[in-house]
Amino acid sequence: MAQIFSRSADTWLRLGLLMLFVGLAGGLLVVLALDRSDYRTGRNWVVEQPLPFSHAHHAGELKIDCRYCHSSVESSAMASLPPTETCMTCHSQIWKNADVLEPLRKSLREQQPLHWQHVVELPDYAYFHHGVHVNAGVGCSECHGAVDRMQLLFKAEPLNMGQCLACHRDPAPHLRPVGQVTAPQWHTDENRRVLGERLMKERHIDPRGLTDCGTCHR
Amino acid sequence: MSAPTVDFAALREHLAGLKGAAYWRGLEALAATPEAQALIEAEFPGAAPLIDRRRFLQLMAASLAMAGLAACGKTPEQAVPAVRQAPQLTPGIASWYATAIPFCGIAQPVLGKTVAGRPIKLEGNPQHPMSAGTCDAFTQAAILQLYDPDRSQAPRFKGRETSWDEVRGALARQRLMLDTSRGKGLHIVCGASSSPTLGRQLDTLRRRWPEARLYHAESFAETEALRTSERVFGQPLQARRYLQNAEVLVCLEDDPLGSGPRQTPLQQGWAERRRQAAQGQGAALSFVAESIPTLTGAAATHRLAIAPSRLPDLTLALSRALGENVADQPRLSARQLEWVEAAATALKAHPGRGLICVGMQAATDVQAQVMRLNQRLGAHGQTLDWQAPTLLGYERGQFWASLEQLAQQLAAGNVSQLLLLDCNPLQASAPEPGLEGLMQKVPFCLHAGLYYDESAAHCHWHVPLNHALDGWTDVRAADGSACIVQPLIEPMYSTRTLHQLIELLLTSADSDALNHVRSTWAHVAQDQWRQALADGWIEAAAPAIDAPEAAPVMLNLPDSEGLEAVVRADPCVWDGRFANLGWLQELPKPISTLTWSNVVGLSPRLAEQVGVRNGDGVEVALPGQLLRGAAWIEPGQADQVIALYAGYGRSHAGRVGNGLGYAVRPIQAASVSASVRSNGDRHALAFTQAHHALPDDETPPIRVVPRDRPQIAVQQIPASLYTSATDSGPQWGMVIDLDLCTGCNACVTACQAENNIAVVGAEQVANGRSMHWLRIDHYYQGSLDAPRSRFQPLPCMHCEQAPCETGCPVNATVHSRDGLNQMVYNRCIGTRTCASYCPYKVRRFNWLDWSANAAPSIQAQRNPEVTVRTRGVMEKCTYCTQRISAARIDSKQRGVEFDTTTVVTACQQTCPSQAIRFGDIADPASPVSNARRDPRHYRLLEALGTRPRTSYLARIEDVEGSDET
Amino acid sequence: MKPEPLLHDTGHFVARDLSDQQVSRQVFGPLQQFPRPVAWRWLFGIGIALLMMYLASATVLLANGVGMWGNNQPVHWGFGILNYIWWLGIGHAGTFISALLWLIERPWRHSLNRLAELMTLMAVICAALYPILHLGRPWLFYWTMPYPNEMGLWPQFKSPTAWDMFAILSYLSVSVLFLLVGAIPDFATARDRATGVLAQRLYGLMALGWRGSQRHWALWRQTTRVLAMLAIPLVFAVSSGYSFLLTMGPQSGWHSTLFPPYFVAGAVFSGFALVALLAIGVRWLLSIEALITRRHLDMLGRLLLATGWMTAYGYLADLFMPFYGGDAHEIEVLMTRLAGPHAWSFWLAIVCNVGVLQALWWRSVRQRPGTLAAVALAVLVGMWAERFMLLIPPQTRDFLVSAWGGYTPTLWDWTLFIGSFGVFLVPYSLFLRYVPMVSAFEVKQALHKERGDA
Repeated sequence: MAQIFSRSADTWLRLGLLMLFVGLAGGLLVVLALDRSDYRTGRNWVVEQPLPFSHAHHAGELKIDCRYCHSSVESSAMASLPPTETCMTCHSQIWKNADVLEPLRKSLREQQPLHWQHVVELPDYAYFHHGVHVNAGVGCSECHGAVDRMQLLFKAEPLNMGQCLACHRDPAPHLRPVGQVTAPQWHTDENRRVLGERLMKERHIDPRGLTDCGTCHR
Repeated sequence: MSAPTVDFAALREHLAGLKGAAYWRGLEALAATPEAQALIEAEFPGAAPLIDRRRFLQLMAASLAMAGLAACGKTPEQAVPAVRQAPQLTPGIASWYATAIPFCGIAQPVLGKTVAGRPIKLEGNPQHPMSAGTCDAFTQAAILQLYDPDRSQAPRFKGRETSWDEVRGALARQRLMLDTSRGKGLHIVCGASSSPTLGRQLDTLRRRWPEARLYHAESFAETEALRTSERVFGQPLQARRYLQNAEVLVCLEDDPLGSGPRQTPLQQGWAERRRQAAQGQGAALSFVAESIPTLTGAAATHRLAIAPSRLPDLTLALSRALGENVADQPRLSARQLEWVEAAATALKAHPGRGLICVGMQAATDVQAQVMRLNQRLGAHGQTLDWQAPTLLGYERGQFWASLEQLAQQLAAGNVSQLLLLDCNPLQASAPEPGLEGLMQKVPFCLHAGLYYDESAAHCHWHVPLNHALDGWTDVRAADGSACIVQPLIEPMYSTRTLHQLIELLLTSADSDALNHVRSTWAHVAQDQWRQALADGWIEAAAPAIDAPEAAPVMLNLPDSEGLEAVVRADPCVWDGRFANLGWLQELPKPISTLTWSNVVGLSPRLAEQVGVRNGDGVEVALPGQLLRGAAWIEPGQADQVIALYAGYGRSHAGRVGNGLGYAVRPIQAASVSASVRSNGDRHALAFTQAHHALPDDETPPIRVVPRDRPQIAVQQIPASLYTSATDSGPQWGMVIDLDLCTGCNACVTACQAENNIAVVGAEQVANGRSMHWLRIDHYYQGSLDAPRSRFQPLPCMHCEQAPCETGCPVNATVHSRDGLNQMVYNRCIGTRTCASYCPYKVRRFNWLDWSANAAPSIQAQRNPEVTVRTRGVMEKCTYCTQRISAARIDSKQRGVEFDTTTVVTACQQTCPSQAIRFGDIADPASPVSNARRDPRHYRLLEALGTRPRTSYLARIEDVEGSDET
Repeated sequence: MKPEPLLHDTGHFVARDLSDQQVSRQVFGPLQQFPRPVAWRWLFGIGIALLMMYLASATVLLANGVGMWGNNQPVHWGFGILNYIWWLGIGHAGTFISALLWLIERPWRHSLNRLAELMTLMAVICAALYPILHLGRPWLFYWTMPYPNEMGLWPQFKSPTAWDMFAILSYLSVSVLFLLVGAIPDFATARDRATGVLAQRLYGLMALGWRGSQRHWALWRQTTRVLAMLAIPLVFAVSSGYSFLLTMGPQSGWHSTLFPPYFVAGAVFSGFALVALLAIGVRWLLSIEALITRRHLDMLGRLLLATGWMTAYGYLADLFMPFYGGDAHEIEVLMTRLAGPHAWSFWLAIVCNVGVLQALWWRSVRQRPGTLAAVALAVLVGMWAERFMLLIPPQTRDFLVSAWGGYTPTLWDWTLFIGSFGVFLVPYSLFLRYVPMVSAFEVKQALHKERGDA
């Protein structure tokens, strides 16, 4: 009786099986890669804002301190966004009629707050407290990157749980003198670990228990 | 269906047979009869009806305390800063304001916590002696009432929404008439209030319209007591009781520890007394004669179940035993006389340290006689003193009229304008029947209240009032001190305060709510005023008035045979004013652990006669009332008594409170003769604790030690191969003193408010799915007809060797370094292994999505510091880990050593008798460590080797054995 | 009455003189032309109906949550775990027959192993669906599997619930491999006998180019032996594995070292019951009474009896231990099993698994399909009742009286359970149509061996 399969069928079958295996394994790898990718963490993606505020200009060139606008960053869980009036302290004097600032003036006129888009989103089941980090000497740029060089703001770090854990497991290399927390371009020639461990001693920072789930999840 | 009765003989026998301290939860499991077995099956949670979806969704919409916004998942996309930042507000930091919640006209002083302008939690005001930082369940739930989406939100005319201008116009027209008639035909009905501002306004009104008449509408008011005091002392006087001094407390049909406007200070006093007694300073004896089981009775050293109709005889006997020369003979049983003798001896043994309390529903002459006895005992100035009445309703030597008189006036057609101010006299469980019919003839009816309730529905006009938390007023506390009620939030709806409404009536002016209050206290300087707002009270307690000698009273001794009914305010919804609050509906009623309904309480003997079991339908006939409800067998209730509870059977309470239970009107007497018969119905009751007996050879969960030797045999913890899981930093632990716990439920409600705990509805509770993280277990001990009650609050034990932690496949519940058994909701996949392995069954599972479609206003109440749990996630008590974190972060920010005593859990914070201690057990000086060294200290199910961090102090008992009727 | 003579006194239990052609016709005939098409349509139809019920119930469940079930506090584990254990237990008999009996060379198993292995496959699938559906958040079931993630989170290997995943996966894969490899020569025959091109190609694919060369046979034997050796320990590992779900908790009535062997015995016991039932059904449906003879049924009966008594020993020990230990609460829980509201489950288990079972002492009962089927059915019911009795009552009697409760399954519990038979039946009835239900080549070998001809 006639052959059912062609000569090459066997090869094809083996190839198919191989493909299947490679496909599965590869698929898993792709997923794992995606899990860490900027696509998922939204890193380096500029977010459209109601008006094109430039941190590079304000924080970088004008050297306005972070805390001038994010006033509660030292005391509260939230860094807080500046109320319209804070912007107006300057912009009632300069760039009074710049079209780009119209939304700002509108907000003041109509007493309607500006609706900024979140750049960093914190899930509701994760609790982050800006104040305690700032007071421990974790610099703004540790998480938010070189904000003073960003024309338009974007997320400079993945800011996923892995990153939080890395620092909570070993805070020392991420600490700096409290005075320098808001200095975007701060750097030291001293070994960060040595410095960090000294600072931890000075401020009695006890890293034990920092990785307890309850530290961030309630 | 035919209702096989429980074999009570078998039950008694069984109980008599039990050796040692016989603990049991309920009747059914005690009898081995097939009927009882059948009954158990009928009562099994699973057997309850499936979820009625419609009802379930109503609940969702109305008062499920969690959802959407805060649920596990993404935060809202946008960040919205203010246009102008309020100077004192920092985003993300809570601010606290002192205010007070009026309840039955008596202030419950509180501090309100607001986050981003949203009030989210109330706590007692530590500055105020009547709170000392604690408060009761009702006050805890007031925050939910503020956000209740069923609150009335706009004025209405004939049921249709209308504008305030319309109201102004209508009132203006009435004013013209009233000015001509000098107020003739104006009849004003008020709920109980002690607001000086309201008093002032009413005076102005009466000066302008002298013919106007005022009425009282309060279902469980103390007016009777005031009338009596007027009769006895020549002037109405309001009693202030100091239980901390009462080494001997005698209660005649009175429940000072039970829910009510004075519960908090009274419980504090009671607890203080027991605390001192435990340290050997004086006695803490309480003799309670009552018809139905109450919290006071549960806490009594000598309890006597007695029909209210026997109270006069009991009082007579007591007077005689205390040396009053009275002619007639009390008709009492030997057992009752024995109780009287014991009480009298104790009272005489502690001169000036005794107090007799009598229920406000008791007959006038009984109350009068008790006032005299207290005077003779030298109670005045010690355990009791008198103050001028703080409640409005007595002026120019006369009391406001009663609803009865209103009914007459209505019938006579003398009423042209009827104002119902902040009261609901047409509610099915209001004192006076048939008003709605009579009101038809009245040309102008206006109702002002928090809800569009039964009364509103029968008036032409309804105007919504502010809640205490979003409007200005003032009110006096139990000790007579005046508190300023300041809003924590802008009025949520188009509402007015009562003061603004009266102003509107008088002048048509749209006045400012604050001004009314401020001008009442005009004599107070601005800086003092600011201080008052900060402290929460503006005028200290008035000094005591020394009452004149009280004359002896001729007690009339009614004959009574047959059954009598007593009507009490429901321990969880009071007279029905809290009916729409899911938290309180789902709060298990003390002792019975019933939720979501009221029942007809019968003693075992009576149930035997009537031939009913729990949940069987009964028909109760009172003079002028016929009602049908579910029977509930209450061991320890007097056999001649039918216990009825007001506050249910409402038609206009709201989506949560409508159509639950039966309606009964309060009676103006201690009791009325009544009859009861089975009507063959069957009701599905939702209770949180199933009914079983503890096998008599197992260690009872609640330990009791005698007063003279307050220590328990130390039980050896089984050796463990594992070292303690925790090693560094503070080690959290909790100790609950069962000697101080009254089972009042304040802690349960506080926990619910703090931790965004869901309300699931009657059907789910019946299915055994209630969500309370902290439950209060109740057990009976002793004989069937006169058992003792034992309460045991049960939060998570935070075991050092926690079985739940080994069970979880995904590490969603793990131990923290400071000894917390953490629950990570966002990691939980819901295998429920942890709950299966938990020997204490303190874990709660989100069987369905309790969080979905909760009303936005309800979402606004949620505590932002606590994750809202979604469907399919396990949850449990966390020792208020958010509060621990807050304290730790605070200390870190200020760079100081972590002071563990600053951490206070929600339950501990609110407990009026401060029975709960929490803190660092690694610190030998901490209060909790001291408690753990107490010889009364023990752990629950110690033999399992779980090493619980939550532990207990045994209850102290003064007398051996249990009492009988 | 006098026992009938033992039929086919041969090692393979079939007629000594059965010819290869007859065997082939019996086994492969149905693939072309099914002997009882009407009966089959009924079977398939019922299967589809049940499957639909299953899907509907599962949809409702996934849409609303496990709250649709009767579970509550304190009965956190209800039908989900119960049916998981029951189905998984059933699976074990297949492996037992095909692997263990293969290793110890019992030629009669050749008539049964194929249908038994197919049963195992479907039973394990029915079981495996339950732990997922039972989750509060089923879509996250994969969190119980170890995979690298940026959070550095792993399953907790202390937890028996985590072991389940591994148990099921390994068991499933081994069963599938064993089935496929074992059937290769038969698929080859089917391929050769097939007429349609599609059939040829499909069977050809399954046969993996089998030509029956010496080398093929050598490889085949090796592979089968290895797989068999892998499968045997799994029989014991998996069923003790899910017994740990209960034993690892402190709960009285669960916390017992007796459970692992107890569960193994019960598993194989219930498995044989279903095998017997299927054997009876299959031999009738395919009218292959000549291949699956009364002697086979007789043997299955004996196995049932034996494993039944092993399980019964478990009952006895379970009754004895609490009193021996003397712990008050243990005794309380035991008494609840015996006399509590769910006592029916205990007594049903005893009646079916111990009482009814004794009928199998009579050869006539073992050999008459009707009676054997009846007993087997009883055993299946009894084993379900046993799982119920072991799982539920202890939960209703917790350590604290205040936490005692009850349990009543809801409509959705039942529909999902009954529907799960659809999950079993639909594929199985398709196998009947398209898979050689008897290992024909092995039977032939056995015949030849018996006859002693080369």
